[in-house]
Amino acid sequence: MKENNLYKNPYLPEVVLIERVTTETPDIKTFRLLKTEGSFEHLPGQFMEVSVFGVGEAPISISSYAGKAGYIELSIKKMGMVTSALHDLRFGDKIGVRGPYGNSFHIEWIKRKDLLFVGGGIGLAPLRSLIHYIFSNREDFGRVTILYGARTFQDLVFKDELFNQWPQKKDTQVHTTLDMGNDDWKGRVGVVPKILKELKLKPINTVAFTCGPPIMIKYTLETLEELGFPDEDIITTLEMKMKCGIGKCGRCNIGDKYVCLDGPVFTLKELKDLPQEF
Amino acid sequence: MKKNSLSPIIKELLKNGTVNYFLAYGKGSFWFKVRPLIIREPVELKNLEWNRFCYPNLTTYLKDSSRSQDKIGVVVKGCDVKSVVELIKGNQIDRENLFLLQVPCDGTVDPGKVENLVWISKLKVTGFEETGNGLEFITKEGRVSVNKEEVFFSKCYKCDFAPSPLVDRYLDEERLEKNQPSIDNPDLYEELRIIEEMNPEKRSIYWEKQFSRCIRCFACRNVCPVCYCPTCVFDQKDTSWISKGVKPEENNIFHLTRALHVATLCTGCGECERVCPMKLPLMELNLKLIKEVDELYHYKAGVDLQSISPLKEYGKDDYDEFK
Amino acid sequence: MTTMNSNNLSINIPPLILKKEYFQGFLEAIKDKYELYIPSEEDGVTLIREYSSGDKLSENYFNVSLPIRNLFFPQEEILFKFSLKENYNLEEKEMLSRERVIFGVRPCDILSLSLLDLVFESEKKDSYYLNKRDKSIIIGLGCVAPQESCFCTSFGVEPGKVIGADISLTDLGENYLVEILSLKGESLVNYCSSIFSKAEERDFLRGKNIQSKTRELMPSRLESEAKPLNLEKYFESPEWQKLAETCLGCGICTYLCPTCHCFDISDKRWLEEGQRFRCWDSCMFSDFTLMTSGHNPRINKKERVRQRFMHKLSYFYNRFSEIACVGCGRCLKYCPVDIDITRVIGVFKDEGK
Repeated sequence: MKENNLYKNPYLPEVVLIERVTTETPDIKTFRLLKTEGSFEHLPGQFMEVSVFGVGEAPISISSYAGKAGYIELSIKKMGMVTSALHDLRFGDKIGVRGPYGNSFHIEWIKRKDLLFVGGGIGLAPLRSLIHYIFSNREDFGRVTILYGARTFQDLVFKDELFNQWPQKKDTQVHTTLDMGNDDWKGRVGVVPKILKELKLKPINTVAFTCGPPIMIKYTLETLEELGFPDEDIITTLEMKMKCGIGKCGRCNIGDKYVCLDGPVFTLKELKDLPQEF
Repeated sequence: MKKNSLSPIIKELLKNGTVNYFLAYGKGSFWFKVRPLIIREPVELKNLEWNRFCYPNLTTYLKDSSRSQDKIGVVVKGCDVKSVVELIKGNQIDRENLFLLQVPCDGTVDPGKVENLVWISKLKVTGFEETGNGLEFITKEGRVSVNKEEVFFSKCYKCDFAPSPLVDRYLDEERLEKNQPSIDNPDLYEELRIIEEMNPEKRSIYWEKQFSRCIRCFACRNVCPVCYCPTCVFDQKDTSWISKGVKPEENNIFHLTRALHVATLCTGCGECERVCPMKLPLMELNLKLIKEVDELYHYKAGVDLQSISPLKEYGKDDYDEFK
Repeated sequence: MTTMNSNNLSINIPPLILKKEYFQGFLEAIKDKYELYIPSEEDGVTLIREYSSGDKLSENYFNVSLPIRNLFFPQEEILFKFSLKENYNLEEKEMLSRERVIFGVRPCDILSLSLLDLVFESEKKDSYYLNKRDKSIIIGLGCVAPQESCFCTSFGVEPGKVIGADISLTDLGENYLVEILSLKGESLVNYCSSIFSKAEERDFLRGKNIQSKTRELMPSRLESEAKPLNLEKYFESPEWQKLAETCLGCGICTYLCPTCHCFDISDKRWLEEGQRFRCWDSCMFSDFTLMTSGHNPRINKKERVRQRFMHKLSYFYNRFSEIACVGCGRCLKYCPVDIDITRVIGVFKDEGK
């Protein structure tokens, strides 16, 4: 058999510098990580395994796409031990990353199509990597509609992009909604699936992407079906208890699919063919 | 055979609505195994079994049912009734929802001992028959008999069976006479003698060696009828008394904590030791605690519903080593 | 159905004889050059343990209690160490550099390694596992007395005959018949060649005879060759609930399984340093799929029992074209409540793939 040390250690993270930390909401921060020369290239939709040494490792979707620029961003909600430890870090600190892992949004397949993004809460993070990609290759894609909602105004992520940058892009509409409005809020009020219904979008030549809390995804998928979107044009990304990220540890399977290898991006058609155990 | 007299009783109890389902023993994968059987429909009685391999303590399944309103029937041996006593005392089950059907038992066979005998003698056993004094293996070459001393669980020699008022029905009242200790005046704590004679250092080495084999499968905890915490201290999400690994020091913590947590509840049914795939002598730990509690407080778990665990009450006469 | 070492070309050594009176000397000779592991008994438990001079081969062992995977994918394994100072100084765990010999592996367990290879060699290769695979010489020992729980023949294993190892041993009573199956095996035999003598034709025939006798002794737990099962269509079958209702939710079946490979990754830290380790985990534990959000896709025993069987008999086959079972019978033998994988195969067997 082969010689000693022939295999690259797939569990060894790369130590990278946190260049900037943006507080998005009271419990979500975006971390910009500096890539070192020759390190990972990623595609929209992929995720990284992020290490806080001494605490552990967690799978986090990449929330940016910056092409050849030397950074990636991870938008992280404070939930468990690793994400809480991440929230205690500041620019100049270092963390470990492995990856990128997983499949990605199918770029070739959506070229020249109209695109609908439906996001809720932290669920806009994985979609944002594709939104970035589209805006940096704007001519390749059709109209873009972004519907995003959160519980309250302070829970909205990427506010600058939502209100200032994205609406300025060519052929782009951004709808923001809050579950609970207040006197200062002039925008829409209501949960995402309800607003989606009101937008009365046509499914012709359109691909829909959705990510958010499980209950939002459930009703969004139903609404998209009602609007006439075929199952193969409805795309979502899944959260399952991934650990190794490379199809070995056996924790993230849904039926015979591993979320870390065959996902995290799935079409509704694919999900319907899987055992309903996610 | 006894199973033939068991079946109509269960059938009747299901039919007249006394119970919703019955916990009993069914045919196992091998001739020396039985399988816990949950009988909801009379048709399932065809798999009913009762023989000397009915060692599992079925009362452990009552833990799961503690929050349901089902009326449950259980086939129990004399020793299993003790676990029921502790489950009732611990408010885990409602006496009213329980029907205890006791079968006379004069000892159960340790399948591990049988397997060893069979392996060493290279017998090709196809089945067995029970005899007054033990078992007879049926082989192609003829019958081979073994004495109960060779194959019974050691707890069975020390059986201190006494009829319990908790039991709703005895299968065979005349045979109750036979439910007597197998040995007159048995040494209940015989297994402890060697360990108690060790000095602390030797004893520590002994236990560390035993615990080092643990693979943390948690079978000992899960099978225990009185390990009934809804969330085990070792399963709590936000604490880390032990990690998921098998570090020796954590194995020590796990086993000592487990044993201490069931002290004054453990009735000595031996299920933890029976299920351990790594053959940890867990009953030596449990027995030691039973012995200490007995000597210090004159208390034994599982005897009656009235007496209260010494760890749950304070008495002026309690043992006090600081006096 | 096996993907075995591909280096078994051009082996020129004919079958040999190892006299049992020289056996301890054989172990000693190996120990001088290699790390050596043999099945030995302590406190009534036979495990493959590292050999130290004078250790005896366990006499009464059908098979070791813990599967052979523990030597390639240990229950707990440090992946790397780090300092908690500024740059972390990740320090990879050192790989094995010395070759090791594992003696007395049973045919079913040898087959299990070929299944684990599929997992650990696929996609991103698992350096920890593959390094141990590379550095190991496996001496298989054919069975002579299968147990009640054995059903390896349903997975194409000949219980008396070793394939897929580096060296095959057949117990002839007073001697072992030694057959070299790979170049690694050849190098080991060449290293201590004076211990062996040439096997005569009758030794060889006797070995064949013993091997076929062993097969006859196999209990017929499954009627025939196990076929991949199209279990997906039985996902909602009430049989799963029936199977699961007596399950205690312990980890015996998965931890003793030679093909189970699920693990968890955690950190341990001290004041200024720490380590990342992986350890076996079990789909039978309720927190296996519990997510940080509190959501758990397999909240009940039914779903967990179904996952175990579906993974072995169906999902693994869909990914790797093999069933993840070798018929070693450990799960069935050690299950405290007699949940029996052959019964599951029986219940659903009518529908092949």
